[in-house]
Amino acid sequence: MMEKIFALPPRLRSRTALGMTGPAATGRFALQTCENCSAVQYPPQEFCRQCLSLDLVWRDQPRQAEVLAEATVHHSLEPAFSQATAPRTGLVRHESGVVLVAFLTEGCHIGDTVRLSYSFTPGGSVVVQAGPLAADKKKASAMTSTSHPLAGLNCYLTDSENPLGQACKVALLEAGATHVWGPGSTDIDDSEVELVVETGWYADACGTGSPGQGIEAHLQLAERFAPVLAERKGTWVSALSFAALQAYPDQPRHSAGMAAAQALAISLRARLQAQGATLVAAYPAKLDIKAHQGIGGGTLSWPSLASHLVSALQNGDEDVYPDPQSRLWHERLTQDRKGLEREMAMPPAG
Amino acid sequence: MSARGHDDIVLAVPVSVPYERFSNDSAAAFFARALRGLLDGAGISKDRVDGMCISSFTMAPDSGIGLAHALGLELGWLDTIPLGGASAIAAIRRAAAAVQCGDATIVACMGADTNTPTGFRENTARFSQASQDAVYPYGAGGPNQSFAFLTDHYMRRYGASAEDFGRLCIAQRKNGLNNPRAMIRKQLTMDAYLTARPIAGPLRMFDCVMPCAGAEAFLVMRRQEAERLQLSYCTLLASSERHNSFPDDPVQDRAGWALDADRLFAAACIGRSEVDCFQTYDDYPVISFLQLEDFGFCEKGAAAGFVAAHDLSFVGDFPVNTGGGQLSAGQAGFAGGFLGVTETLRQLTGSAEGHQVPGARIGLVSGFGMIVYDRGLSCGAAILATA
Repeated sequence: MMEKIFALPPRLRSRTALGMTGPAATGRFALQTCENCSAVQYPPQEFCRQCLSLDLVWRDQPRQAEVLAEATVHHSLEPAFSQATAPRTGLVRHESGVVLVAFLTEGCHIGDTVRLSYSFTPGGSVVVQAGPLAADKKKASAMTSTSHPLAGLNCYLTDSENPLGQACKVALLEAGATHVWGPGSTDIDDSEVELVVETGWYADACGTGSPGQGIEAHLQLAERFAPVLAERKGTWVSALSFAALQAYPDQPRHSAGMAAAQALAISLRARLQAQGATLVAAYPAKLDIKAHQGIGGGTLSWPSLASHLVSALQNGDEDVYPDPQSRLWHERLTQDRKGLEREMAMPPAG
Repeated sequence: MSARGHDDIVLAVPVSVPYERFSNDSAAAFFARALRGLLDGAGISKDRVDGMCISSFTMAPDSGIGLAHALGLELGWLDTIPLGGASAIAAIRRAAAAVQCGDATIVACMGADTNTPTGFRENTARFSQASQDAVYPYGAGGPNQSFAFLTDHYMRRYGASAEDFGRLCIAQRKNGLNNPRAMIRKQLTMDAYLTARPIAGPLRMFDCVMPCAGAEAFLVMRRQEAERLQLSYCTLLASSERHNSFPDDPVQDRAGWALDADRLFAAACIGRSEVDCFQTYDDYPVISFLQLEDFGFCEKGAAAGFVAAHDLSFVGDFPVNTGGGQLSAGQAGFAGGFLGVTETLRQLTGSAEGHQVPGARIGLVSGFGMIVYDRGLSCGAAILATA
C-alpha cells in the first residue's frame, strides 16, 4: 500500500484572524468586541461592522451556541481532509447573535445547545469547535486533534530523576502513558517517542552548567527528537519560567537562560508545526529553585506544575500559565509590557 | 429604488464559447473568443465597440483595463464587475446606464473563466477574507459546503426532501438534453439522482454545478443602433439588484429578490403570469427554490409543491432553465451568471435550436453570487421582451 503523504489543513489566515491564536493558546474563547459600541463580531475584521470603529478587542465570551445547520464534507478541495471520516461541520449561532462555521463533535446535532472552543489544527492554525455542553474536551475530527490522547503515549523526560521529573512521571503514568523514559532508561527506543518533556532549563538555575551549555544541550536534544516527533505528530513540552517572557531583574543569569530557552522553544515550535507536531511551553512565576527565592507570592509545587502540564496536553493548550501570579503578569505583559518591566524592577513593598 | 425600467435599451448577439472541463487557455483567451463571437455576430469591427463590461474569477492579476489592452480595444467606457453569479445582471444595468446617458454606444458584456485541475482549489482558498479565515479551514468543502448549510436549513425549516430538489434537477436535465451547448448531456433519473455520490451535507453530485472553462457574452445598445445593424434583439424592460440584504437572518432562506420582485414586475409593466421563461440562477437547486418563492411564483417554503405541480420543460407550462441551466451546462466561473442571459436572448429571438419555448415573448433572468461567508450577498434580475 502506498504511504499517504502528510498534508497540513489550510493555514492561510488574515492578520486580524490571527488574533484567535492568543485566546486559543491558553484555552480561552474570545471574540472580537467593539470598544465603542460593544458589538460582538465574527468573522474577525479590522473594524466594527456596526459603527466602523477600529477600536476592537478580543474579549472572553460565553461559550454557548446553537447549531443551526450541519454539513458533513464528503468532498474536500484539500488533501488534509481526505481522511476516512469526513469532517462534520455546522453553522452555529453564538449567544451574541454572530454565526460561526465550526467543526461539530460527535453527538452535536441541529438544534442542540453546544459549547464553543478554539483548538489548534496540525500546523498551528486555530479553528472553532462545537462540543457537547458539559463535556471533557473531546475532539471534533481527527484533523483538529493535535495531541494524541495521553493514553498509550511513549514519553521521554530530560530529567527523570529530579523532583519535577519525578512528578511528571507520576502524572503521565496516571494519565495513561505507556512508557516514561529518561536519560537512564535502558529500554528506550527513540523512534517510538511521542512526547518530550524538557525540564533541563531549571538545572543551571540550581547552580550547574551555564546558559551556553543549556543552549547546546537543547539543540542536541532537538536534533535527536524533532524528527521523530514530526514523524509521529508528537508534542514537545518546554518547562520554562516567566523569566522567559520578562526578565527577573535580580536574576540575570536565570533570566538570560530562560530568554534563550524561549527563543529556542519558539524556533522549535515553528519547525514542529510545519510538520504537524506541536510544542507546549509553561511559564510558572515561582518555583522551588534558588533563582526564584526573591520572588513574592506562593511557590508552585513540582507536582502541581506537572499536573498543569498534563492538563494542557489533554486540553490542547499551547501556553501554560500555571499559577495566579504568572496569569496576572501575562495579562500585564499583553497590555503594558514596559509598565511590567518597571514594576518587576521595584523591590517588593514593605 | 433598486428596481427600474429602461428606455429603449436592447440586448443582442448572444455568444456562448463552448465549455471545456479543463483548459490550458487563460481567461483572457476565452474573452478573446467571446469578443470574436460578438463582432462576427454583429457584423462589426472592433472599433465600433466603445464600451466593455467584464467579469472573471480567474484573470488575476489583470482587470478590465489589462484585458482591454490585450484585446486591442480603445474604449470610452469600461467596467469590471466582481459580483460572481450576479455579475451579468449588474453588467446589463451598468451597460444600460452607460448607453442611456451617452457614455457608450455599443457595450460588450462578457463573462469568462478558465479552469485547471488545481485552479478551483487555489481560487476557492482565497475567495474572500471571511471565507479564507472562517469557512475554508473547516473541511475545505468550497461552495458545496456553504450551500449544504443553506440546503440543510431549508429542508428542515420547510420540510423539503431530496426528491423535491431531484425533480428540479431532472427537469433541467431534460431541457439540457435538447441543448447542443450543454456539456452534461446524460439523462438523469430520480434513482441516479438520489444514489449519487454524497458531496457535502444533503448535497449529492447532481445538486452541484461542475466548474469548467468557457465564456458567455452579449451586446448592449440602443434600439436604433440594433436596427441600423439589422440585429435580432430583446428589449430590456426592467432590472434590479440587491446586495447584503436580510443580514440578520440567521441562515439564508431568502435573498434581495424578495424585496424587489413587485417593483421589478411593476417597472416592466407586466404581471408575473406573463413570464414565458424563467432562467433562475441554479448553482444549487435550493437557490432556484428561493427564487421561485422570492419572485412570488409561490409562497415561501412552497417551491417543492410548485415544482411538482408544473412542467418545467421548454414546452411545459412553466419553463425554467430551458437550456438545462448551469447544472447541465457546467459553470464557467463568473460566466455562469451570463448563461441565463444568453439563453433568454436566444429564447426571445427564436433562436434556441432544439429547445425553443413556443411563442416566448417575455423572459425573466436572475443572478446570485458572492457567498463570502455564510450567505450569498449579491442578487439581481432582469426582464427582457421580444422586439
